[in-house]
This record gives sequence, C-alpha cells and structure tokens, in this order.
Amino acid sequence: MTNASHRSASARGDKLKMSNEGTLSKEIKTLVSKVIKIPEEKIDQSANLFSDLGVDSLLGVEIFAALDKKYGIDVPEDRLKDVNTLADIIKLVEDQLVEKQQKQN
Amino acid sequence: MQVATIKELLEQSVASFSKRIAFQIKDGFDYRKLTYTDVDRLIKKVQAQLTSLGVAKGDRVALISENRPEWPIAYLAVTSLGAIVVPLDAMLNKEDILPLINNAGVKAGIVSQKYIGYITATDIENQKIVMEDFGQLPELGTTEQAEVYASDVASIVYTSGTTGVPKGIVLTHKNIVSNVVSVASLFDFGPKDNFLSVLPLHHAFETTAGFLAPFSLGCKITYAESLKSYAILNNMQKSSVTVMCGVPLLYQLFYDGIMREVEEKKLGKLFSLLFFLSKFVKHVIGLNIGKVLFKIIHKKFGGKIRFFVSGGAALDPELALNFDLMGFKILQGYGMTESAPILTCNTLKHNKIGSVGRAIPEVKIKIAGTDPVGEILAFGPNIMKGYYKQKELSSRILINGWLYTGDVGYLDEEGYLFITGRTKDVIVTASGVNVYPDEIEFALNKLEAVKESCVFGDKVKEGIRRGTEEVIALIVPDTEYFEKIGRTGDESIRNEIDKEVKELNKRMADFKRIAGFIVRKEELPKTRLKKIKRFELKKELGVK
Repeated sequence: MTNASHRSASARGDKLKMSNEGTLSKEIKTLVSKVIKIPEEKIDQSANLFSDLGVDSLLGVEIFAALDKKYGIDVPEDRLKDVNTLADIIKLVEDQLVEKQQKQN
Repeated sequence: MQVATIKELLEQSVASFSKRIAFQIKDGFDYRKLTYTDVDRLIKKVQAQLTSLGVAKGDRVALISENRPEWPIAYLAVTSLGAIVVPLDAMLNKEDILPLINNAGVKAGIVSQKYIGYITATDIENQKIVMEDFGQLPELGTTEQAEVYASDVASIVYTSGTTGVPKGIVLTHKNIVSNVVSVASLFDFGPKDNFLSVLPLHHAFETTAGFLAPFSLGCKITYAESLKSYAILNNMQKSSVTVMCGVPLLYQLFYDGIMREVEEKKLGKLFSLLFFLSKFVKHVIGLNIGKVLFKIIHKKFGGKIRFFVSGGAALDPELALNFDLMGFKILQGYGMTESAPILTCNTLKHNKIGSVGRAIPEVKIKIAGTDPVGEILAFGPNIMKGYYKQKELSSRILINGWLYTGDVGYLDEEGYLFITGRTKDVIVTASGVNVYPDEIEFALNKLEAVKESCVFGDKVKEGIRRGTEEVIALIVPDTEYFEKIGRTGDESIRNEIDKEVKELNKRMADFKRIAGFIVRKEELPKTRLKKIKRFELKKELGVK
C-alpha cells in the first residue's frame, strides 16, 4: 500500500470509526456477551478476555465467527494472538470493515 | 483386524481401500482429496526424504502443523519407518516448544509453512521437511526399512511439562494399535463414514479416535479448515459428515448457536413444544423421534450425522440430554494420553448419559481400595511404557502394570464408570486441556514480585464455562523486593503483582493464563519435605 492510499484508508477508517464508535462498541459488547454468556455490564472494554473473562482459543474463534456473521467479514483465526481486550476486538472489526469497504470501492 | 503395528495398519488399509478417499480438506470452493493410494505414495516420498536426512529406526521426529492431510501422512511415514513421532501442540508458544524438542532429542522435523519459525535457529533447522513440499519430493522408490515390532516405541506425546521438566508419554505400537482396534470394534465404522476432524491432531484423543481408527476401517476424514462453528457446519453440509469427535465446549457452542437462532426467529415456544413432545414420546413408548421433530436442525448438521463423540473434559448431562431429545447422540468417553488414550466409552447400543461408558475391550477398570468411590485404576495393552527419561515419575503412576489415573469415580452395577473428582492437582479446562499447577508456579516464582505461590483450579462461577475450572494463584509477595523498590502498602503491592501477572499471562498459552490471584502475606504451609500443603490451602480458601 502506498503512503497516499494508506492515508486515505486511514482517513476512511477514522470516518467509519467516528460514525460507528458508539454503536459498534455496543454491538460488539452485546455479541461477546452472548457468546461467553457473561452479562454486558460485567464486561469492561479493557478487561483481558482470556484471564478476566475466561475466553479460551475455542471461544475466541467463536467470537470471531459471530463477528463474521454479523458484519460480513472474515476475521482470520490467526489474529486471535493479537487480541487481548474487548477494545482490541473493536479495533480489529474496524480494520476489517475498512478493508471490506476498500475492496467494494 | 489382525494388525500389531502402525506399519501393518497402514499396509492393510492401503491394500483394502486403495481407491477410496482417505483425507480431504476444503481448498477454495472445492475439496482437495487424497485416496488411500495417494496417501501411500506421499508416505513413501516422505520416508525417502527422512532417510536422506539420516533418520533411522528409533530416531525422534517432531511434527508441528495445523490440522491438514499432511499431518497424518507425516505421522504414518515416521512411525511405519520405525522412527518415533513427536507430535507437538502448534498452539504453544515457541518458547514452550523448544524444551520439548530438546527433551525428545529430535533428529528432524516435519512442519507446515505456518510453523516453520518454531524450528528456526534450532538443531533441526536444516533437518526439516515442509508439508507444502510433500508433492514435489523426489520419487526414490521404496526405502529399505527396518522391521517394526509391536513393542517398539511409536510416539512420544508431551503433556504440559511440570516444573520446567517436560513430561513425554512414551507409547509403543502395541499401545496405540490395541486402542485403535478396541475402539474400532465398538462401532460399525466403514468406508461410508466421513469423519470431520476438528480437534488438534497432536491430542491423543484425535490421533486415535479421529484419525487412526477411521483410517484403519477405510473411512473418509475431512479436515475442518477453520474451527468457526459456521465453517464446521458448512463442512458437515457440503461433505455429508457422519461422525465427529469434539470437546464439551464445542457441543455447548453448537447448542447455544441453535438456541440464539431460535430466539432471533422467535421460535422459542415451538421449540419448547418439540422438546416436550420428544421427551413425552421417549418416556411413554421408548422411541426417540427427535430426528423427525428436529429435522431442520439435522439439516443444519448436514443431515447425515450418526453420532458425536465427546472427550477431554466432563460433558454436562443436561446438554447431552438436550441433544438426545433432538435426535443426536453424543457418546462420552474417558481416557488419558497415558492410555493411548481411551479407557472407557459409551456406544450407540450402550449409552448411559452422565457416565463415561464401560471399559473398552481388553481394558480392565477397577476402583482402588474397598470403598465404592475411589481412585480409578486401569490395566490393558494400551497403557504407556512410561514417561520419557523419568523413571521415578513413571513408577509413581504405573504400579504392577496398573495405571493410577488420579481421577476418582465409581462403577455402577452394569459396569458404567462415573467420574466424581480427582486426586491429582491437575486443572482441566473447558476445552479439555490439562494445566499442571507446578508448571504455572514455576513461572510465577520467577517473577520479581513473587516469593512463592500455589496454583489451583477453581470453578468458574458464570458464563458459558460455568462449572469448569480456571487457574487461580495464591501469591506470597517478595517483601525484600518491595522494600527495595519502596512500595509497602497492600494496594501498591497488589497492583505491582497484578502488573507482573498480566505480563506473564501474555507470554503463556491462553489455556494456562492465570484468571485471578489472592495475595497472602504469610508463608505457605509446607510438609517436612518442603512440599506445599495444597489441600490445606484449598480448604482454607473454600475451594473444592
């Protein structure tokens, strides 16, 4: 990716982020809560999914599967290693959505 | 089936099922398929390459990859050459893998491109075969091979190491093949069956039940390209899967997925009625009509499922019952890597929900002592030779040929085994992975803030993993260290420990991560031999 296209992707990402920030975070929190069966109010954005919320690799993959279904994306299972918190998941989805939008354009 | 070694098992399967499909995996929109003959051809190529790398009978060969057809091909190539396969958990970090490679003293490695980095800068960096290259390996004809005997070692399987010393379980051809033959005799598997392989292949349960047993009977094995539930279901639909081995959490995820969809489509009342009807008919006339009532769910699973097998951790009887009412059988089994691994199993004819089934052929199960409930002991041709280079540890678990499982349970009047607890300190997570407390303590005690620690499993109180175990640590702070850095307040000490534990968690495989810790100022109680009195501490904390 060139610097220019990187900048424009990043700008699009920021726009997407700003328009969706509240909704996206809330939606993802609801989705994670449903998969791991822990009430939303007990899930903190910065809580560690693995040590604080008991997510293991199988559950992590299932969270990704739920994200795929909801947003029409394909989060690679390998990315589980980069994810520690709910905030990381939100960031990952934002990136995937930007990528999806770029492909569509 | 008259086979005594993995080599004979391979030869018999190739001769009997030559043109049938042995392995397949999704590749783009289609499946990449390998017949039993294709598998045999690739095995010969890999064996020739292993020989050119100097691998001979008795040498150890590491195997690291994701689930794919090349994994079983590599396994069969190594073992039927008389060499010893060392299957490693690809989910571990490189720093966890290296001590295992060193402990086993491996001479070569077979890896997929994805895990090539695991052996970079090791002794076997230039002694490797990459799975993606199997097809391009030269045809060197049949390699001259040594005789392979039933008593020869076929595999060393590592479970989580303890106190930094890896624990390798040594399994002979007899151990593995006897288990395969016994399991295969309990089910009418055949070439019409298609197994979906989802559990990691290095896990002895998947090696025996998901790979060697179906391979010995000419079945087709489909490797799931992803563990995402929709991908698994897609595989089931596209390739008419008939059998799958899984861990309880996987079945729970399937069930939750079904129920979420029912809720979204506002079909809750209809489903409650169907469950009621299924239960009523089963109770009154003893007929399971779940398959008819829940036809739509069966369609989601591809419509051809004969049964599921569950192992690795305890299956919630209520979940098994709900699947049963929908017309799906989840057959629970029990075993451990030390027994290659299956000891007991429910079958289609003899299935008691809540139990782990009856002893499989050739295996004897008894309860230690005179009380009906006690430690489960097992005896049979599948019981391991011992732990690799650990005679003392082996003699503690193998006494007069009996395997002291460390699990506690009872046998009912019909011989079904029920498991009620454990004598050992091992923590079993929801995914069926064992975590050894002393391994975590070893890592914790290395932290600057920690003087000593005691790790145990505590029941998860909420969420999908409720009732299963998670890793909890009792930590005694190193007061000298805290004085040195000028932090003495309780909260300050706790925060520092929290920071170090979080850092440690990042370096450990996810199943080993510490879910919580308790700070204890007093020294941990110990025996005269300086062993931590875990039982006393657990009692003090109210942990069962």
